[in-house]
Amino acid sequence: MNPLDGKAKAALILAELKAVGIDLVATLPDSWLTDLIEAIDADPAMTLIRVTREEEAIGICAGAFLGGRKAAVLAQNAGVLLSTNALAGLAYHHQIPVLLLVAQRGGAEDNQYYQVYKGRVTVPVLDALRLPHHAVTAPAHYSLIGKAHRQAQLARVPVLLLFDRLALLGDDGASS
Amino acid sequence: MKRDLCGKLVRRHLDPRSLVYCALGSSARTWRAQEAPHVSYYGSDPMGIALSTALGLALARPERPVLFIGGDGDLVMGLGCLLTVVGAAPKNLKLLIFDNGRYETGGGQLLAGSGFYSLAAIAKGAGFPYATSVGDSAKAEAALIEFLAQPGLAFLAAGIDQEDSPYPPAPALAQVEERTLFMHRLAALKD
Repeated sequence: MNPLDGKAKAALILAELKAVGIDLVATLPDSWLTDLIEAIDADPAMTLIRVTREEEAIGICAGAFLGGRKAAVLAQNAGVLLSTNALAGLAYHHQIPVLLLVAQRGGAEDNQYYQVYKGRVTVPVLDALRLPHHAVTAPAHYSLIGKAHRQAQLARVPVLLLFDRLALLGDDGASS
Repeated sequence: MKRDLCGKLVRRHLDPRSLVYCALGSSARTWRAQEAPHVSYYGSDPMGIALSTALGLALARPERPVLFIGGDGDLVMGLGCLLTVVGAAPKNLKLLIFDNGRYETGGGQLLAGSGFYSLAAIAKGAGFPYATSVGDSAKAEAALIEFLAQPGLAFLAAGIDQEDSPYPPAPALAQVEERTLFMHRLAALKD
């Protein structure tokens, strides 16, 4: 069986988002997210909002929740690190659920010095914030999207899905 | 103009169907003091994401006008969001910014660049189809009427006098309780 390429994976992820009623996605790109962003942008049933800083995406999703619309953030883990105050404020002050799909850069499959620190500190920072997070390492884990969305709704907190390279792209980066 | 005059004018002329999203600080307290019937949310902290949250609300409720009321200090913490708003192009969102170059609640400290920039020019440069300012009390009502009459996205920087606005005591309701009440009121709207 041929492995899925990035576009096929993006289609599956998008289908999971739509299955839980998410039709609004706010994003700041990462190269690993390109296929997914393009798939969302090409779907007339979806609204894609491009932001200049990741905490705006979190704010957009919070406002959508206030108005009764389901939304998700799509960003790199550097944006999560940037947005810790926004995440903590929503979790503990407003108690607003937000689902974040995050490119978890800086793991063993990454090949740049500047990504490494992100991989080392993101999970400890999320643990310090006491925010739920789950690793997504293969298409078999995409069902976590619906489960994490439900967890966010029930706990009234942001919940993060940390996608590694193979969960988003068609290769493991060994040749890049 | 005085803060309270701006609040009174908004209450007088704002479409009763409009939702109001307030950022934190003296601008929000000014609107709360009007005891207006509009369904309003007082965003409080985290500072810097109020405008994006108002955008999310506008995108969720496109059938209703949404007025964002915020202070300049909060806005400039996330100026890039002006580009995000323009890119999203919500036809139902308007931004009213209390503009006096100071962090009024925090003690009146100056904003970076205070006295040099024009928020209306920044908004216009960001691509807002309508962006202007008014500081003269005598012209404020006409300016506000024109702003609110715009058919789509619009930005008004209201030049507000420097008036102390110290931290008030904590209100009776916690933020999550405010949030719950807001969502109940929003859900109960009929038209």
